[in-house]
Amino acid sequence: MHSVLEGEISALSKRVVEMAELAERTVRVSVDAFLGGNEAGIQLRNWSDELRSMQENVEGRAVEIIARYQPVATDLRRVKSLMKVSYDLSRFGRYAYDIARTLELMGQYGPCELGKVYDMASKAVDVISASIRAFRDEDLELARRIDAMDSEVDGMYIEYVRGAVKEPPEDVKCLAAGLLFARHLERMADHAVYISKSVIYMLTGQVD
Amino acid sequence: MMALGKRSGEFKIETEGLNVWFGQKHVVKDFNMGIRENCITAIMGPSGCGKTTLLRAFNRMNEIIEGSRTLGSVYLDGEDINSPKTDVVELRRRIGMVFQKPNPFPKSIYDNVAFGPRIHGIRDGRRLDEIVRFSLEEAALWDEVKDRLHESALGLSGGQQQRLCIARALAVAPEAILMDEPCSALDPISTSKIEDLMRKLRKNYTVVLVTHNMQQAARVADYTAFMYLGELIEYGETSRIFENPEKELTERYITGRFG
Repeated sequence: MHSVLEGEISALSKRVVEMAELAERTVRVSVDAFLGGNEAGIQLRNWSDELRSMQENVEGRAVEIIARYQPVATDLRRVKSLMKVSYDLSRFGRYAYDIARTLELMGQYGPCELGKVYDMASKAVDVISASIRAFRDEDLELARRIDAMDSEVDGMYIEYVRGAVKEPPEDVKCLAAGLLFARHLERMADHAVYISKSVIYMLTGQVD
Repeated sequence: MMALGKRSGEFKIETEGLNVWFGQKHVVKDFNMGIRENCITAIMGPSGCGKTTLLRAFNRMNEIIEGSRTLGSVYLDGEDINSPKTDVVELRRRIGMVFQKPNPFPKSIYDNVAFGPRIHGIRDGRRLDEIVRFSLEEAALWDEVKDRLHESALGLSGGQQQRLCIARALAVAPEAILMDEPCSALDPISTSKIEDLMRKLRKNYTVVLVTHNMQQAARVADYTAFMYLGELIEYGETSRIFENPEKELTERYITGRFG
């Protein structure tokens, strides 16, 4: 280690990478549970709470680093990006839990014909994983591809919503559940884009 | 990225191919830099990088040092100050200086401030009173000293002495003020008062600040230059220099990964 500040930032970084691993697992379990019609609400609530508290911890440590060391240049960008990424990761947790709550909210339903939402879910999970990989590996090339991947998710979302309204399933609960699920996926993919932007900013100083 | 450097008439002070030697030592190397009017420009760099010498080149203070040699130009409002026509006393009135250690004369507060105007031929008592008051107000010291103007300046605190030195510089109505580490001998509260003062002064004056306190440059300067081994490494808007420096050397210096 070169300096105390570097040590602090690297510890913070490690913490956010841990968060990223948990966030990714939370998203995968949530999507699988929804599509498989399994109950995972309690587990997801716990993980979502944990991500939230990790995020608060990261934020507190980042503020402490700013107050004590007044980081500049790469160091400053890294601290800012870690704070922002940790927030986006905590949002992944929250949306994953919201997906699980759909069942709780509406009571037993289905089985539903979810059709195109399967493709959208798999694409959204890809974007989320890619953003986490770009962050963990500090992969600038990958980070720069996330925005385009998200546009595909957006396209699939719009297509799904239009289709679902045009030819709604018989069970209205299936329609509502499908729409909510798609909406949460779409929001999560947006946070994947925010993460990729933080990675780009951290590595290059560029904001776009 | 801002391109600062070439002479274009938009700068208050500008250097062109400026070089300064002390004997064999080449202290300032081929400097091309423009200082904007009514801005605070900070020059930072490690000890011995030539930043004080650069500052002193702006009002020809180096020439009083034996063995110094200057090549190239320094323009004030587009006119070369190194030309033989330049009236050096007038030049130093137009470009005042404040030093690292407060150096009031062992005289009263009033006489410290009135010293410059008197040298420049002002004798009228009421005019002098006005100048003293105006200068002390500009330097944010008036309220603290108005009831003891005729007491010794040496009885003031360090921070007050430094503001007195700023008032003394302002008393001759300069256009620019050069500050060489003006806070390095002061505590944080006095430092913050001087920094507030700098921000206020830039409305009417051009301020050039030499500092090795990077956080001070970050706090007060509109533009920041990084100097290393006599060369201008990077120069630009302060926020960019501290958030996203372009040069590896600047990055390493400001993040403390130097040498």
